[in-house]
Amino acid sequence: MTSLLIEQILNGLQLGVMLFLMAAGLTLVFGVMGLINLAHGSLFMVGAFAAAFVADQTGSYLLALIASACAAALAGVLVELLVIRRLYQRDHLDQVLATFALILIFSEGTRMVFGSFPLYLNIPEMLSGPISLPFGIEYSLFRLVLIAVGLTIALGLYLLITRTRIGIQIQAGESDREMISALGVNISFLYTLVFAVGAGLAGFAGALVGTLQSVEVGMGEPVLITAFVVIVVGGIGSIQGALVGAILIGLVQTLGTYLLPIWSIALFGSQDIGSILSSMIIYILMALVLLVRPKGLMGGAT
Amino acid sequence: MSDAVLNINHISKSFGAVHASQDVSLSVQKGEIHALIGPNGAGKSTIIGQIAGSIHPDEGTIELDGRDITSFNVAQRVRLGLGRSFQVSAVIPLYTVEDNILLALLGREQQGLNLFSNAHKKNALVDEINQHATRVRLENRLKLPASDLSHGERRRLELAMALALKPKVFLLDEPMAGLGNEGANELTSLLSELKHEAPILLIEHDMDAVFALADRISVLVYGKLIATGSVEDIRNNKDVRHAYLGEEDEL
Amino acid sequence: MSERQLTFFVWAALLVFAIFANSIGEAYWVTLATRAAIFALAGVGLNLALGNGGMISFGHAAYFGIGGYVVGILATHAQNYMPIYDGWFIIEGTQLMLITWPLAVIIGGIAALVVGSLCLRTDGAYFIMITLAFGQMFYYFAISWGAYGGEDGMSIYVRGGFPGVNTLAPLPFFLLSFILLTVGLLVVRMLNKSPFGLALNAVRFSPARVETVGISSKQLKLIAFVISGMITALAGALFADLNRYVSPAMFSWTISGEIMIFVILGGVARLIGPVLGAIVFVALEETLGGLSEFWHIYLGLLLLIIVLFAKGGIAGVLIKNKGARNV
Repeated sequence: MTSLLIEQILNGLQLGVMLFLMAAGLTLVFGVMGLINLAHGSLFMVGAFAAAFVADQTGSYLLALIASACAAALAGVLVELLVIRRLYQRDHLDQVLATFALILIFSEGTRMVFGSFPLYLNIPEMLSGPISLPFGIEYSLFRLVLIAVGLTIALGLYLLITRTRIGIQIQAGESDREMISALGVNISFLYTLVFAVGAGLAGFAGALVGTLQSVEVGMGEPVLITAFVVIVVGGIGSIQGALVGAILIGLVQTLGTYLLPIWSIALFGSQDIGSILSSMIIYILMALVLLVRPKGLMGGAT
Repeated sequence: MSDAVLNINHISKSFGAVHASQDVSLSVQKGEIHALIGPNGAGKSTIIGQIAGSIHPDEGTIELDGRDITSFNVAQRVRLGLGRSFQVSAVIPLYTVEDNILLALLGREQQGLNLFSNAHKKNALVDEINQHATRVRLENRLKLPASDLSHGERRRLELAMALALKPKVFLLDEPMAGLGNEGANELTSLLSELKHEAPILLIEHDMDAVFALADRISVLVYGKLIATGSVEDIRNNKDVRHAYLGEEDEL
Repeated sequence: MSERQLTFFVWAALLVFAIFANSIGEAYWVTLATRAAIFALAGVGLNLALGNGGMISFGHAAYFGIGGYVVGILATHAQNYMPIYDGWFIIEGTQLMLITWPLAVIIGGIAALVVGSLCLRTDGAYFIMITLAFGQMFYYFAISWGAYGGEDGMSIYVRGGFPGVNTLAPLPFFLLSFILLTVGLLVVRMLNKSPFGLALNAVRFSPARVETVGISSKQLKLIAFVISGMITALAGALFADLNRYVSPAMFSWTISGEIMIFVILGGVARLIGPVLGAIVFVALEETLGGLSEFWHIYLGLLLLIIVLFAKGGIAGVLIKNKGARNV
């Protein structure tokens, strides 16, 4: 029983780490540029499709992963230059509508190129199969690698933000946009860079998740919305908040889906209530956070 | 202190390491204009915010007509009789002068949640709108959208909205700002009449107006009240002269 | 033309179109007009919150879906003769529109009250994200609600009944929907002309100002949000009877987005905006959708162009109006 529980905890961690990759980009873009970007899910999707395409053409998973981040980053740069730029000074409604329009364009565009059927990415030989963990648990090697990769990226981002010049600029940009422009920092470049980094992270996450599930149009939006829940729970504007929120949501969602039906059978004799609750649990959590700490668990910025 | 309409008792507020208000106490008595002056950065806006209700003091209480309103929010305080005008005019640009004043009247009459009647049909209110507009000499501009008004006219509209509230005490934040000489003079005579309807806490930089109008003056420097007294007292006060001549050449 | 003229013209045009289509035997077009009227009603609801109240709710599909599900659930129980509740008293299913409509409105209102109270604890981007998230919550909830079809949804075998009306025929049902749309428009118009409306529309520009005249901006917004949810829920109820099918898709973020498109396309905050937008949307869906299965890409481009270059929507382009306030 416990081994199953531990496996679910690990799954929760893995989900959390993927959510972090999405949420980090979103919260960076919002923190630095004040822009809410609904098309972030599309970039996730672009990464997944790029990976599937490259894997199919070259047979190399590594190349596919690189392609996913690059393609998404490139798409991000393009979108930033053509559309997003015009939105920084606009109000949130315009940003929401314009980026929603981008979702439509990306989704249909992808359908036009790749068709409506899902594509698949296969786990490379090297990473497939189970790995033996303590307590006699057999866990998917790939998922474990995912957790490691995600945490490494989180650490890398943290170091980037706190230790490099660009990072300082980003932090400064988060607190006072006008100021850093007055200080001579190249705003355009910074903004495009931040957007591209966020996009690349999303695309990379898309490829990884696409490997676990499948690659299809519209795969990004549910993840995007969950990333919003992460941000609300964790607190907007901070990478730490995104990580804390993401891990928390990942664990709650996964453990909820596993435990709630079980408890429901024990308490009510049927798993219906449990299933329904588990589909809503992360939103209930979000509602609770809203009641108690509207700025998020680690919030305060903005 | 029974003549005091507004009492601010030992208000303190810090923002992180910045002590914006330190143990500030003052009162506004019936029939008076109490001016609050101080160099830039003294913390006057923070005091206003705490009186109006948009900022919560760390310590201290605020009393309106003897009633403790410290825990009340902005709208609640207004309903109890606090009338404020903003330093930066916060009129509704797309609404006409008429509609802006009407908004204030509806607020006063607690009609904000009236879903059914026609806002423009209340005849008694229409007369009142004219009254208040005339008082600030905007009676010829009633049908213009506020965005079409000049800066000075917008300041007058701002004041008209405060007048429309018929509050128990006025909180006027730099009403002279941006008014030319003529405008300032008109406003000065308006305010000296007004104080008999309701006392005024006047935040101002325009020293001529302050000395002409104020019954009492309080001086705020770096969040602390360094002096309170009549115009003469303040004029002759050493600390005040130092605070001002040390930073600005206003006295 | 003036806003008054445009409002009347568009409203009348929809009615005339449906009657005309019916007279030449094009039942399908009448159904299209009904679809437009229902979408318009959903948009009228959203416009109250979004256009007049300045609340960017990207989760209004929640109320659309609730309206639909109220009709669907009541119909299911009427169809299989199993009561909804069988205890102290019996509650049975029904397909009488005079019962299902008020219920949809009330339950939609309650949901909007709960969700709105939570969402209004925040503003700006947070608010948008949270409304989106709650919309999604309802979506997942509906999918996991096995008792009512889960992902597959529920079928309504026969359209609900309204006394004295043959609801099965396209034109009568259109007229019912159109009348409800008109009622919705009148309600919103009344609200905007009321003191509440004066204050609500002011909150978008300066919440501080509204507070400073003694009106609680939070209360204003919540009331607007609840009424808005109620109107959109009514649209959802009609939609269920129109299609005789209800599914979790009614809750999806794409529906929220589409309702927003109707409003923006037509002209946000304009009374007739959602109607204009819905008509154009349905027209595009039919024409462009017929030409290409990827027509959403053109919709996206159109929306992008409007947002970037023609903010007032179609109404904004058509109306030459120097007035200071809306109808």
